[in-house]
Amino acid sequence: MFITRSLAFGLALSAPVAAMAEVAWPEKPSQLVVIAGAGGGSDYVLRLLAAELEKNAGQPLTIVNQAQGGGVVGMTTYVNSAPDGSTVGQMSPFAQYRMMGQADFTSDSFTPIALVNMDPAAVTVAEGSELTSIGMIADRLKAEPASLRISCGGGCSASWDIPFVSLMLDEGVDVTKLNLIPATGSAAGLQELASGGVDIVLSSLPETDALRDAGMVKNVAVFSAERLERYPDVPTVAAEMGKDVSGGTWRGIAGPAGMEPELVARIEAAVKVAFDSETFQSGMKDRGFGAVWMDAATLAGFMKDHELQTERVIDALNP
Amino acid sequence: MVISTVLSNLLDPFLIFVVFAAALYGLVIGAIPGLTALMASALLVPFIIFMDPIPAVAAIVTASAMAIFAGDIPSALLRMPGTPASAAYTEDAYGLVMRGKAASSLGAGVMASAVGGLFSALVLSLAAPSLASVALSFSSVEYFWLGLMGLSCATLVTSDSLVKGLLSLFFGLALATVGMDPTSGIPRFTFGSVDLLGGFGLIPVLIGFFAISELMRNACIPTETRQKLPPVGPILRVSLRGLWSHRVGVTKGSLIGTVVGILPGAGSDIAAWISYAVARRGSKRGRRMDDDGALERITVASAANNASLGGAYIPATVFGIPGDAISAIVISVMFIKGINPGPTLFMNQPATIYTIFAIFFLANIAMVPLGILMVRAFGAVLRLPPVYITPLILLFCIVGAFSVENTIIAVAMAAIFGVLGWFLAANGIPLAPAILGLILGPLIEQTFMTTMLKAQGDYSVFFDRQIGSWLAYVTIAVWVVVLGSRVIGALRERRAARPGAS
Repeated sequence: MFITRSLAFGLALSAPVAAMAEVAWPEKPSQLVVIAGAGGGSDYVLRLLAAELEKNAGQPLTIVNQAQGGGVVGMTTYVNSAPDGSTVGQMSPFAQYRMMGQADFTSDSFTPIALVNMDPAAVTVAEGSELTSIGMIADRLKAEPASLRISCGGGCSASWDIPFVSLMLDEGVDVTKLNLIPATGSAAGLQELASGGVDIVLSSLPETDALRDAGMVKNVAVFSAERLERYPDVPTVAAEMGKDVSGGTWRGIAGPAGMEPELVARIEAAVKVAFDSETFQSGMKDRGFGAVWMDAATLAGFMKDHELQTERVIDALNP
Repeated sequence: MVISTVLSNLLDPFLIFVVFAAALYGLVIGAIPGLTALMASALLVPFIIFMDPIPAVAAIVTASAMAIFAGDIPSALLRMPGTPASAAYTEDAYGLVMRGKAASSLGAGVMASAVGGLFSALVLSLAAPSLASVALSFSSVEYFWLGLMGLSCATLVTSDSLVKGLLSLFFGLALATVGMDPTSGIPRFTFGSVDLLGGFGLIPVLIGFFAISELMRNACIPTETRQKLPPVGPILRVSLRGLWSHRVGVTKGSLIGTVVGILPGAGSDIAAWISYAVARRGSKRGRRMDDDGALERITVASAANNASLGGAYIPATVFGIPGDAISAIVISVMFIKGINPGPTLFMNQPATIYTIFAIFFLANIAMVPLGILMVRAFGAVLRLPPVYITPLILLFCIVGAFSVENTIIAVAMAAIFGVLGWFLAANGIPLAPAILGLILGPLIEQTFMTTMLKAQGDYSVFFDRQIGSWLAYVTIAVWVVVLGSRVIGALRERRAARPGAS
């Protein structure tokens, strides 16, 4: 009698708790490791998301910025933490770290949770350049692979150059001869472009806003399936070349390997609510970031593809 | 359009509060011997990281200007330079105080500092935008020479001993090679440790070198019985009269300070030493050993060390290259706050950058009344026993190192570099070239590699571009002149010593 009553009482109590739990993550103070410095693009996107998660759950979600080692330090921190949902981190391109001997992450080192942002790579040239389309660039590189100085806007094994080199591989360019020049970030690469130091810069579109608005550079193509709403004049590689090569950088949430599926589903649901919020959507639009959603299962497959694409390109560049 | 935005930005009550609080903070830190303007800026970082961009930068600008002036106070009253920038004229200032002329000594300091600061702010506001358009034609070749010039100036001009300066510089450059190779991303000297993958963070090393080592040095000096301070009379009228009578000296100091500040790698201490040397050797008035001569030297050097602050922001905001270690901190704060220094800053956010420039004017005008107040309140600050002050500062150091990197290893780094810095300083090895090596080393390596990749290994590209080749010739000229004069000086000494020996 007593048992059944307390059971019924317990069930009555737990029902609303369970319903709430579907969106309520974090249920205790937790941290989100951002693998870039405070104030940059990654920091902006994830702070925006964390603010919503915090508000919905009523629990603090602290952003910890660990940008050292190009992001390796931050990823190492959350990959080595307990898989209980109290520490998660930014999921972004990771396959290059292992190939450069910087870390040993594979897609199995993480528990994918959700992807919230994707910014396609773009090809930018100086205003007045004779190269006015991605097709012309491909033809030129096919004839003389070393004739153009290409700034990667970041290390030359990262987000921006991987889709570009993939496309050139498909086009039959001898990519080992490409003159790829690493820059410390897109701003440095674009400065080189403006001063005539390089011929092509690979970066995201929003990063070129200032110099394009000043009439100093021109966007030639973007690596996405469709034209971007914010940049309707920039043609896609898919339309120009007839090849569906897309890529760029992306940001999501992942945890250490071995998280319970129930926990992952709960965090994923909470992140989805935050992603769909007006604040997040308009905040992303304001800064020109692409709000793109992927659930845990889709992200897992996407991460595998990312590893394969990166491996193919880096192997081709360093035979 | 921009002007009205700037004015409305300046009227923000929170900004005014931040500027006022930072001014008081800078004055207190600068007035405590051993605590530098650099440390004042570094310790501000954890507090301003949570502010909006403009108040954050305004806080550092104000605090550093105030700290540089406030360094004159203990320098004059206790013969202990509050900051290295005041060290050049400590003897002169202290001598005047001992002869009962505290008001004119400190008054000359505060007035010359304010005028020097205002002068460089004017140059900054007028010249930075035009320099910005020039800067857009800078490629990796120009940056390479600029970086090399900064390193050369810092080492060849600053230290008394060329060998010790070079030793420190190469130590800094060696530190800069740890971590991922800036071009290919291959880990170097990390011994498999993830903590070393990012290299040595600038702020933990700075805190270790300049703050912790200074605390250790001070802890080694037995507390002496303090002398009674001579009374300080009314300051304002005496100093205004003094300012007019030394107007040539103020102008000279402001010019030298601004130019030295613009050179990447040379900061306020260098500006003070160079202008002091110019005043002492270059004019009849500055050569005299009486009160007026001392005042002339104080005026020139005080104007110069404050003027260098504004000058240093020209390469900082236009090129993103630090003119000194303080502007290095400002650059990192600006990056964190999304105000990316560089030529495009003037196109993207003109209101923001001009508001920051306007803060320079505000800070230097506020320096006069606040500085005089500080001189009055100084006795009380100096009487605080080190037993209470030292642990508090150490606590700030730990918080500062951790808050920038978010790793406990950063605190360990600060401690290790504190001991190392103390050891180096105790042996007369200057620390500034090592820090500049750490800052400029990666820049020089990156731009060298980028240039070589672009030119496919052809070295002549370093002399091919118009601006680049000029920078190259200036850099090489600096080497030739400085090394040449050192060699000639050494030969002369040897020749002079020979007849005595025989």
